[in-house]
Amino acid sequence: MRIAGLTGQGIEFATEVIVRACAMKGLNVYTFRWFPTIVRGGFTYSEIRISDEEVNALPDRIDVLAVLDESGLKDLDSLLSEDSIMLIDEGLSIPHHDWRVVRQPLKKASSEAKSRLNVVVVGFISGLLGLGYDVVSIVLEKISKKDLLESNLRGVEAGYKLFVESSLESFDLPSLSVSKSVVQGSDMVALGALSAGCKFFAGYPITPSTSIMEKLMKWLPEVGGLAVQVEDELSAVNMVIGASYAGARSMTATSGPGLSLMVEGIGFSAMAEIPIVVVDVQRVGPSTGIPTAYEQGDIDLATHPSHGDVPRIVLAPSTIEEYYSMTVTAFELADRYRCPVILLLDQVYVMNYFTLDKLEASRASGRKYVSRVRGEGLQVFPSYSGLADCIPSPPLDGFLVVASSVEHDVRGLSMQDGQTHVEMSWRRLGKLRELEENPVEWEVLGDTDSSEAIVSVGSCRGAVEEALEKVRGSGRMIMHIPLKQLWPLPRKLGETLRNIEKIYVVEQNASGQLLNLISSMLPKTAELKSIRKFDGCPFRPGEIYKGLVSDGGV
Amino acid sequence: MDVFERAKPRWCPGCGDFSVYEALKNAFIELGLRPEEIVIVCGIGCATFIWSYINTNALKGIHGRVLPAATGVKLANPGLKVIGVSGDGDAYSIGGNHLVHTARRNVEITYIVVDNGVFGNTRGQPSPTTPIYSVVKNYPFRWPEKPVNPLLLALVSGATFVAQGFVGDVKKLKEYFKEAIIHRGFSFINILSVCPTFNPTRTVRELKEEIVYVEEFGAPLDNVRDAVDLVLSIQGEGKNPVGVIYKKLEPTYNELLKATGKLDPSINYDRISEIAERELGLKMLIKD
Repeated sequence: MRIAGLTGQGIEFATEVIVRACAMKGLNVYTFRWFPTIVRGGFTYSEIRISDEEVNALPDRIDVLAVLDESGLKDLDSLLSEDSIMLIDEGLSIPHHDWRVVRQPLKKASSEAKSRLNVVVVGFISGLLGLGYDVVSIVLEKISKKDLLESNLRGVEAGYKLFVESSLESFDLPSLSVSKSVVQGSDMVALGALSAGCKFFAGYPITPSTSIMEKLMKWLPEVGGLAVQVEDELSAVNMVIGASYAGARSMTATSGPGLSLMVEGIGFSAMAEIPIVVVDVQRVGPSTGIPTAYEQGDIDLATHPSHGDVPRIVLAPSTIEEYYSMTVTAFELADRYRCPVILLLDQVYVMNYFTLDKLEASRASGRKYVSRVRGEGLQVFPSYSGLADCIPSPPLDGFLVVASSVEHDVRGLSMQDGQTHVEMSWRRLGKLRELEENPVEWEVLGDTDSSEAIVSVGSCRGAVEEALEKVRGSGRMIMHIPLKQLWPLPRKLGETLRNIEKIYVVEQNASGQLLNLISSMLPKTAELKSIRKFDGCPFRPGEIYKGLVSDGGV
Repeated sequence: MDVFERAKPRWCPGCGDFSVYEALKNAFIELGLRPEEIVIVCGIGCATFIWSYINTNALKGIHGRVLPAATGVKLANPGLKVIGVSGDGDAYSIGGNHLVHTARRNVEITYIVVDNGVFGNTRGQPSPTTPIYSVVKNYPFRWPEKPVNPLLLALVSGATFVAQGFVGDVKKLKEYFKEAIIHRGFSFINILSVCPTFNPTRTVRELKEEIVYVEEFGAPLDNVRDAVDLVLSIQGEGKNPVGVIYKKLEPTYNELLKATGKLDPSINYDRISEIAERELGLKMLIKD
């Protein structure tokens, strides 16, 4: 279903109520919100897909559309069918159509109930979906602002009454025995950071990554950590480097423009071998682009983030669960290889609502210090020799710790001769060979002995899997690699695809950044097809399916 | 050779950085500090080579980002004495923004800016403190920009310790360093320095004629308006104030954030599970 209207009409709140009601009934949801940068009066909609089975992508059609403002009748393409129900205020005019329009006195009901239009709509929808007035009331009690609770309850009641009087048939969504938790990707990343032993965060507000900072500001102090908001991204990345040098697992989170500002710091982290985790929630670029919309356009920048030969690891989780587990992995890898790890995330997962039963977590090793050494005469510790398998931080008994952005010897002291640079470059770059051979995050889905394969990235996975179900129905076998370790590229990618005849690369950007990244690994004989989209919205399964069955590009 | 000597300092003959090196090293010794408890955080520029010569912990960062990196160190481990060292380009040009914000946060670090009015490391370009109309080695015209006023900038930004040193008076400079290092809060010292190689018209002798010791005027003051007035009145006479101009005790960033101990690396899964349960109604299953 979709709720559409203007920013400021409370569509986000309506979405949250419906999502939480579904979760209480044990249903799964996948949500996506389109919203503009302006806080009041811009076109916005929220899509909620509800199922008793797992859902990992947007739907191909909208069954229920609730319109709070005429301008909400946009971007519908072929999503509505003649069975779709459109709920609209009786006073609104709509263009020629062949949809089932349900005209209701929504505004009148909202003013009579001295409530807001969005909650009246929620009331009507809760009847239509069969969420139950009780369930919705419980949700409202949980998430309403205190002074709005009474009015919200009145509004929902009024909307519910309108539904009852409308004599429409309810969808009667089932109630499953165990209710679900409602999470956003930002929750998963923040929890992952805590579970990895992250103790310091510095960041600068930027859509769509800000919620990660806000959550960590609240949660980190509870586990003995600290999160600060600083003056800019340059400060943020250098501050987390300083904190990591002083012994704390540290992270920053940003979005495209912020990542552009952080790249010099990422090079510093790599050169000084001070582990940091940089979260990049991608948005539409280049430059300011569309700050609130979804795109996977930072693959180029994240995999090639700074000048010089920079050792770096780039991870791109593909499921909401992986937003947690791979955040933990990011910290573990950063420390193990003492280099920056960039966690490349998608707006759709970070900002929207999803349901989970539980969260499985394994224990992280946390920051391991160099210990049980005893220096004499305050030598500088050989931080950059093979011996230092843990991370040296000051104060270190009997040693001094030097970390430097300048080319250096094994102790970190400046050494700007060619030979040292050659040796230290091999040291820095050689560290990641292990990860190239044995990627920590690697998965092959579907038919492994097929002659066709799909390589996807990030949140495209869900839509690809759903499209593949349909393809398999017709007897066609396709392998699917949701590529999660973008740098260093796993050798396995080339080996797995060695005998594949046709390869589809699925990603959400205009230039085919993933395809460019992996092209050197693909067999020369294979036919390549890029399936990509960059209109700010996630793929729908049907769009991928079309790409798989047609010869033209999408 | 004392415990703070790492290597013989190498700068051009007559460079002001030698004085800064001597004064800082002796300040450490006289304060009874141990090298292990000090972190020198450096940016880019000739003065920042000091970390190679003074034997302490060091974080040699990138151009202009001394203060964020130093803040990160202090927040993660407040037990460390954190000393930032920049030149005028590092501090007032590329890194200018951070000075404002670190000062207003009152992060307990000492920030030393060696101000010689020229980009020496890149061989003689004008810097943010180069006086207007002056002739600079690698600039083809008279310099058309007014200089930054570091003391006023620090004062109005909320620094709780503002001083100006002079490389021609190493003994006093050392005393300012000592006071700055023990100050509980953000201590800022701009040092009037010289670059005989790339800014030869600015000499120690010439600077000496311009300086006025602010202690004669009752400094350090603890009122920003009085401190600003003092700086402006001395500068209005074409002179340069030297000494500790302003000093005041205010809560530090660490204190305000309740980050008064080293951040503990251990992971408390029970606490994390509680957060997940409370905030998200989410059950965490921790596997061993």
